[in-house]
Amino acid sequence: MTNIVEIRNLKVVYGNLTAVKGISFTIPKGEVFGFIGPNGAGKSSTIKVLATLQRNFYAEAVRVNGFDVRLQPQKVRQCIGYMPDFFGVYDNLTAREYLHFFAAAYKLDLDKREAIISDVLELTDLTHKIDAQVDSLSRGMKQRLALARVLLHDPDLLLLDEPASGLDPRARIEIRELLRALRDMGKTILISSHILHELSQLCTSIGIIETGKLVAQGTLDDIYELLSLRRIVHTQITNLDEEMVERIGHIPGVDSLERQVDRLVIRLKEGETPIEELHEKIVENGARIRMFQPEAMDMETAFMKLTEGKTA
Amino acid sequence: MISKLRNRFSLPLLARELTQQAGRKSLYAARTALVLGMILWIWLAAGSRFSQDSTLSINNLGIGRSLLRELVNVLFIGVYVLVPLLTSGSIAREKENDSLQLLLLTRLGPWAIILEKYLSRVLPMLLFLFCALPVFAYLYSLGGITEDVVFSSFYLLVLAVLQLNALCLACSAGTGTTMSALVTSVVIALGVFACPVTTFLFPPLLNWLAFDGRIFNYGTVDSGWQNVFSVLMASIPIWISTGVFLILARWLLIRRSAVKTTNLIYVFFQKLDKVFNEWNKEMTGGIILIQDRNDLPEFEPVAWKETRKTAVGTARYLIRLLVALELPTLFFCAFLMTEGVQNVTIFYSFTLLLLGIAILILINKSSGLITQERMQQTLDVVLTTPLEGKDILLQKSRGVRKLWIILMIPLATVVVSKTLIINPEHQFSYLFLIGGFIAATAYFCIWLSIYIGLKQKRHIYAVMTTMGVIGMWCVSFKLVQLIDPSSMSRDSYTSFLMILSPVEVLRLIDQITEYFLYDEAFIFSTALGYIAYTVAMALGIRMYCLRQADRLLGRISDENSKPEGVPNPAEKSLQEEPSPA
Repeated sequence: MTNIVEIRNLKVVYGNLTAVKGISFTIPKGEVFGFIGPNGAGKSSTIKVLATLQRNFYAEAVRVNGFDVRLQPQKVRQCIGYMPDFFGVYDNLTAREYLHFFAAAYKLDLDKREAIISDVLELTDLTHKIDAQVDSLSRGMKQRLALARVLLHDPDLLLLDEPASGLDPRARIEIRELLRALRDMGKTILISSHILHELSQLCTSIGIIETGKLVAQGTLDDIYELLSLRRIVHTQITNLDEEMVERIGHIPGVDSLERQVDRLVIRLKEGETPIEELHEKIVENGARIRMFQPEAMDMETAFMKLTEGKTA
Repeated sequence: MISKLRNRFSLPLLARELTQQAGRKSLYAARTALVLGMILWIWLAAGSRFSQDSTLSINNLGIGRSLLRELVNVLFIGVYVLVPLLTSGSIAREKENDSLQLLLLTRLGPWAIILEKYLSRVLPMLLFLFCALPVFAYLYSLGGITEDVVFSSFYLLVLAVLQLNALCLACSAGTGTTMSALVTSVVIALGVFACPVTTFLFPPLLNWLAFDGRIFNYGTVDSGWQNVFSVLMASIPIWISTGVFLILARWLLIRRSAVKTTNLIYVFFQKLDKVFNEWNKEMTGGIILIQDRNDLPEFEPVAWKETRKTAVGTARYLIRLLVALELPTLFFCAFLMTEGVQNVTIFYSFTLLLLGIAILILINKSSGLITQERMQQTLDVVLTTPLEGKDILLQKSRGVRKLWIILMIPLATVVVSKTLIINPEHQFSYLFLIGGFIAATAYFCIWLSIYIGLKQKRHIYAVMTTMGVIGMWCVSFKLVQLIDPSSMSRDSYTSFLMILSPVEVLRLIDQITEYFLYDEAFIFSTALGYIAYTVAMALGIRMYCLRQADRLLGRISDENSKPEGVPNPAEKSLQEEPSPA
C-alpha cells in the first residue's frame, strides 16, 4: 500500500528545547492515524512539519504523498489540508466569502468553485449558514467550516490538530461523524486529540507520543497486545457452580476469574483466545449462558500505562 | 503574627509584574541602551563644549547649566515616549489575554489592582531617572547650577512619570487593546497638554519656567529655595491631576473590564459614513456615484481581502478619508494663500504635521499587515495554501499602496499651495524636491514597517520598533553633530551627513523658498542624495522581504530545494543536538 506520510527520525528543536526526538512512522493511504500524547509531547510540532510550517527540523525523510517536505513544500501544500488547534477566522467575512477566499488561494477553477463550495457546505451541514458572518458562528460551526475549507481542494492528506477540543458534546459528535464520513470516502487523516475514546472509535491506527518520542505505534489491537492488557468478558451463567468455575478457569487463554454477585468476570490473555472461541468453549463445558458481554478495550488504560505525564 | 502581617500587606500583583519584567531581556537591553546613550551624550556634549585649552579649566566653569537644561529636556522626551509605550498595555493586555476577570475574582480589590499595576510601571521608570542622578552630580560640578535647579528638575521629572503613568493606566483600564490604549493615551495627553486652559499641568513647562526662576514672580528670584517652594506650589495641580487619573482608572477598571475590542478606525468610518449618507440624501436625494463592489475573490484572494474587506481598504472608505483630510487642508491652505508670502513658514509646520500624521497611519497599517494575522491566528492557515510567500506580501501591500496614494493627496495640496506663493524662480525646484522627498520617505516607511512587522509577533511591538527606528533616523544628524561639531559647515561632507536625517533635509528643502542660507546647488544635491538613498533603501528592504518572504513569514520555502548530497542548512545546525531543557 502507498504511504501518504513517511517520517523517519524526525527531530524538532526550539532553541534549547528538543520538542521531537527522532520519531518515525508511516501512514498508508486511506488510514486514519490518531496522534495521542500529553500537552507539550510534540504532536503539534510534528503536524506543523508536515504542514510545511516548521522550518527548524532535522529528519532522514519527511514525505507527504512522496514529496519531500523540505525540498518540495509547494507540492506538499497542494496535497494537504491543515486545520490548526485554534480558530483563525477573519472578521467581516461571510462563510461564502471565507470559502471563496481559500478556493482562490488554492487556485480552483472559477467555474467549479461554486459547485465545490456548495458540496463541502452540504457535507459539513452548513448550507443554511452560507451568508452568515464567520465570527457569528458557534464554535462547533466554526470547526465544521474549517473542515469545509480543508476539503475545498480535495487533498490527499488531512492534518487535523485537535479538531474537537473545546467543543460541546453535540458539536464533538458532529465532528466525529463528519470525520467518519471522510474516512469512508477514503481520505487519509492524521488527527491529534486528547479525547481517547473518540479516537479509538475512529482511528485505524494510533501513535502515542511522549516527551518527543513515539512510545507506541500500530493498530489498537497491536497496542493492547504490546501492553499485555487483559481483555475482560462479563458473563451470566445460570448453572454456575464451583466445578463450572474451575472448568472455565482451565480454558486456554483465561488468565483469571472473578465471581461477582450477579456475574462471572473472565480476564483473557490478549492474543491467545479470541472472544468468539471463548464463548464456544464455555458452551462446550456445559454452561448455559444468559449474558456474554466483552468489555470495550480501554484506550485510557493503554495511554496511562504508556505515558508518564512528562513533557519535552 | 509576622506571616499574617506579611500576608496582609503583600503585593502579589506587583511582585508578578516586576518578575515578568525582570524576565524580559528586551527591557534590560532597552534600559542599558538608554543609560549608555545618556552617558555617551553627556560625554560628547560636554566634550564638544569644553574649552580647546584644557589647561584653563576655569574656562569650562558654568557650562553645567546649559548641559543640565539639555539633559533634562532629553529625559522629559524619554519619559513622554517610554511611559505610554510601557504602561498602555498594563491592564489592556490582561483583557487581551482574558485574565482581567480572573484577577477581579481574587481577593485583590480594585484599588489594590490599580495601585500595584501603577507601581509596577512607575518603579522601573524611576529607576531609569535615578540612573541620571550621577550625571546630574557631574553637571553640578561643572558649575552654573544651583541646588534648587537640580532639585526642581528632578522633582518635576518624577512628577511627569507619576502623572503620565496614571493617565496611561486610566486609558489602559478604559480600552480593550494595548494599541487602542496607546492611541487614546497619546490623544488625551496631547489634548490636555496642548490646550491653553490646562497647559499648566504639563511638567516640562513648569521646568522651563523654574529653570529661569520665572514661576509666580516672573523675574530673578533672590533665594533658590524660594524657587523650590514656587515649584512645589505650582505642582499641586499636577498632583491633583495624577490623583484624578488614578480615580478614573479605578472607576473604569470594573466598568470596562469586559469591554469588547472595537476597531476605532472602523467605528470612525461608520460614523463618517452615516454623516456623508445624510448629507448625500439632503443634497442630491441619495445619488451614489461609486458603489462598492460586493464581489468574491477570483485570483488574488489576499489583495481582495485587503482592498474590499478591511476598514482602510475599500474605495468608499478611502474616499471618505480623503474628504475628511482634504477638505480642512484645502480651507487652511486657501486661508494661508490669501495672506500671501509671509505664511511660508506656517506651510512648513503644516507640511511637517501632515507628513507626521500620514507616516503614523502608514506605519500602523503596514506593520499590522502580518502581525494582525499572527495575532488573529489566521496566518498559519494561509501559509499552508499554495500561495507563494512573495505573492502574499505583495497582495497584502496592495491596501497600503492605496492608502499611501490617498494620504499623499492632502500633502500634495499643501505643497502645491505653498509653491504658488513662493518666488516663481524656485517653484519647480521646490515642487520637484519636496514631492520626491515626501513620496520617498513615505515609501521607505511603508517597507520598513512591513519588514519590522514580519519580524515581530505583536502589532504594538512592531509599531514601537518602527517608530523607534524612524525616530533615530530623524535625529541621526543631531547625533553626528554632537560627535563632530565641524559638520555645521556647508561643504560636501555636511551634505553627506545631512541626508542621513529626513527632518534636516525637509528643513533644507524649505529654505530654498526663503532664507537662502544655503545655495540652491547645495540644497539640490543634498535633497537628491537623500531621495536616491531613501528609495534605494526602500527597494533594498522590499527586495529582501520578497526574496525571504517564506522564511520571514515562518514556513519552509522552495529555496530550500537543493541538489542531492548538499547538506541542509538546518541539518548543519542540528548536528549537535542540544540537550532537552
